Amino acid sequence: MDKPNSIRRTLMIWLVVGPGIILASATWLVVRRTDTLVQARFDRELMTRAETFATLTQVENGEIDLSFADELMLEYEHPEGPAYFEIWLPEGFLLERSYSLENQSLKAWVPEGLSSPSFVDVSINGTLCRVAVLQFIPENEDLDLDAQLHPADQQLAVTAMVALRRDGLDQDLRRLHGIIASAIGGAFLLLLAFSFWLVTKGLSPLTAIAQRVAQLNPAKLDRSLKVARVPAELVVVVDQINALLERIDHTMKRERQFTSDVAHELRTPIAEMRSLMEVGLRFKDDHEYLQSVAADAELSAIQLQHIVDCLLRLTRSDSGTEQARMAVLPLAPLVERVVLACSDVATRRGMSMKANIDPDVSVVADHDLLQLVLTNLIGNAVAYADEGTEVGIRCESDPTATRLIIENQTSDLDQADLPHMFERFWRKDIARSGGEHSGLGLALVSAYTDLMRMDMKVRLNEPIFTVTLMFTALEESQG
Amino acid sequence: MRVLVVEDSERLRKTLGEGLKREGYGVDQAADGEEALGFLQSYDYDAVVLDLMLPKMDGMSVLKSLRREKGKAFVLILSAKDKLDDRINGLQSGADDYLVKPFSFAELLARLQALIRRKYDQKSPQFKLGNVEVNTALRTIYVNEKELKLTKSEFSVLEVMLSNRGRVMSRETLFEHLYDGYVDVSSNVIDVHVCSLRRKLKARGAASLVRTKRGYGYYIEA
Repeated sequence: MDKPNSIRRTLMIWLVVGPGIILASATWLVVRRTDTLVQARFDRELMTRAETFATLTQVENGEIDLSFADELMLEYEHPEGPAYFEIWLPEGFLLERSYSLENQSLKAWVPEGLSSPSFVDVSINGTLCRVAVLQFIPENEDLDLDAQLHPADQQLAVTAMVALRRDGLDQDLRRLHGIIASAIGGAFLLLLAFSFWLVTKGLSPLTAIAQRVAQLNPAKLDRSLKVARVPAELVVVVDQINALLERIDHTMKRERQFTSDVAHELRTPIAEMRSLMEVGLRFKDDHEYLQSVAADAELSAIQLQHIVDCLLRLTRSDSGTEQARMAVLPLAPLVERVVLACSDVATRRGMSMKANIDPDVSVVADHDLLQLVLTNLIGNAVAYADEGTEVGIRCESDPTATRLIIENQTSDLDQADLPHMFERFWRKDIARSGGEHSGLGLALVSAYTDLMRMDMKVRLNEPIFTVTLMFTALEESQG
Repeated sequence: MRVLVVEDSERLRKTLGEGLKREGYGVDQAADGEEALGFLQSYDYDAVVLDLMLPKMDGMSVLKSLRREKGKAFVLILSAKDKLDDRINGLQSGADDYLVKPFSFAELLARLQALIRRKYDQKSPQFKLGNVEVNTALRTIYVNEKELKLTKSEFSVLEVMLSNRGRVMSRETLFEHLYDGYVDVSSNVIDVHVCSLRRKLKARGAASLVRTKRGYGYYIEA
C-alpha cells in the first residue's frame, strides 16, 4: 500500500525549497554584485594611479620625461610590491619602470592589443596582480593650449601600465563571501525553524481533530467530536463530522432497536407455537385437545407470517425496490371493499361504519398500496375505537387536492401518542392483547403514503381521532 | 398447587393454563397487570408465571407491588426480554426465577416445581415415608417398590399434603391449592380425590399414609 501523502511533509518541503531557492538566488546575486562593486573600486584606484603617471609624464624641450619621486611613492620601490609600473614610449621604448619590478617587464605579461583604458589580471613573481593599461598623450609644455587640445595626428600615445597586488582584494572578497554565506545560512536555518513551527502550529487543529477522530470507537458513536478552538476553516468539517456521527449513531440505534423489536415480536408467536406443540404432545391421546392445539398453532403461524410479510414490505420500501404503479383510481369502490372487509369486526364490537364518498371522485395512487393503507387505517379505526361508536369515512375535494378523512372516537389515545403512532412496533397497551396486531401496520401506511407521494395528517380532538390522507389533484399529477 | 399465569398473549396464556391444569395444578389466568394484581390480592398462590410487557400495568410494577405488600408467592418471570440487564433487574426486583421466551414447557414445569419445593422448604422432590416413595418432579409414587397409578388430581392432593407434612389441611386449603377461582368451593371434589387416593394406597398396604383429623381436615405425619 502506498504511503499516504503528508500535509506536514508537503508544506515543509515547499516552505523550505521555495524560500531556499530564493535565498540561494539572492546570495548569488549579492555575491556577484559585491564582487563587481569591490573590483570596480579597486579598478578605479588602479586607474587613478595610472592617471597620476599620465599627469607626471610631460614633453619638455621635445623630450618625454616622467617626474617620478621615489621617496614619495614607496610602494613602487620593493620587489614584494605591492605596486608596479612601466611607462612605454610610442616607439616601444621603455621610459620608466618601478624598482619593484626589478628587471622584469609588465609588458611581457600583458596581452597585446588591449584597448585603453583596460584592466587585466597577471601573475608577477607568482603573485596575482591587476594591471591597468592607459594610453595617453603627455602634456607638452612647448605647445600652446590649443595645440595641446588638438594634438597632431602624428603624435603617438604613451602607455602607462600600473599593477597592484590583488591578494588583499581577494582576501576581502573571500571575507565578504563568508559573511554573506553565514548570514544567508543563518537565515536559512531560521527559515527552517520558523517553517517547522509554523507548520506545527498551523496544523495543530487538524492534528487535534485527527486525534479525536482516531479515538472514536466505531461501536460507540454517541460521542461527538469535541475540539477546543476550532479554526474557522475547520468549523464546517467538525460540524459535518458531528452531524454524520449523530446520524450514524441514530441509525445504528434505530437498527439495533428494530432488530431487538423484531426478535421480541417473533419470540411470542414462536413461544406460543412451541408451547402448543409441547403441551399437545404431552396429552396426545386427547384428540379433541390436539385439534384445538393445531388450530391455535395455525393462528400463531399466520401471525408470524403477517409479521414477516410486513417486515419484508418495509424492507422493500426502505431499499427502494418497492415501486408505486400510479394510476387514476375511483375512490368509492376501494373504500367500500375495505369497509366490507372490516364489517365483521365492527359488528362484533357493536360499531357502525359510515362511508360518504362521491362516486365521481378519482385519485392518483397505486391500487394495491392504497388498499393496504386503507385496510390498515380503517381496520385500526374499527379495532381501537370505543365500542358502540361510529367510524366515519368521508371525502373532500378542491382544485388543489382530494382529502380522505377517517374519524373515530377513542378514549385510549392521548396527544403524546401521536408522534409515535407511525413508528415500527409502536402499540398502545390495548393493542398488545390478542396478538392480532404486529405494530407494523401504521409504519407500513407511512412508508406507502411516502411512496405514493401522499400527505397524511393525524389529529386528536379528544375523543375524536382523525386521519387525513391528501391525494394530489388529478390535473396536477397528470401535468 | 395453585399457580397464576399472567400473560397478555391469549394463545400462550391459554396454552400454559391448559398445560398446567392437565399437570394437576390449579391455574388462574390474568391478561394484564391490573387483573394480575387483583388475583394476587385475593388468593395465596404457590407460584406466579409473570410476563413483563403487559397492558395497563407492566409485570415489573406487578412484582414490586406484590413484594411491597409482603406477598410470598414465588414468581417466575416469563419474558421475551433476553438481555442480561433485564434478567438481573427482574431477579433484583423480587422475582425468584427468569425464563426467556421461547421456552420449553417441560423446563417451565421443572422450574415451577423447584420454586414450589423452595416455598415448602424441600430440597429434594423425593419423599420416603415407610414403604411409600414419592417423586413430585417425575410425579411418580411407589408402594412396596411397585408403581401406583394415580390421577393428576389425586397426585396433586398428595403433593400438597406432602409439602405440608405435619399440618392438617382443611378442604378449603386443599381446594385453594388445587383449583382456580372459578370452581365452586362448596363442592366435595376434595373429599372424592382423598377418598380415591386412600383406596388405592390401602390396596397396596399403605392405608395409614393419609390420615383424617375429624372436623378439621387431612394430614400426613411428619
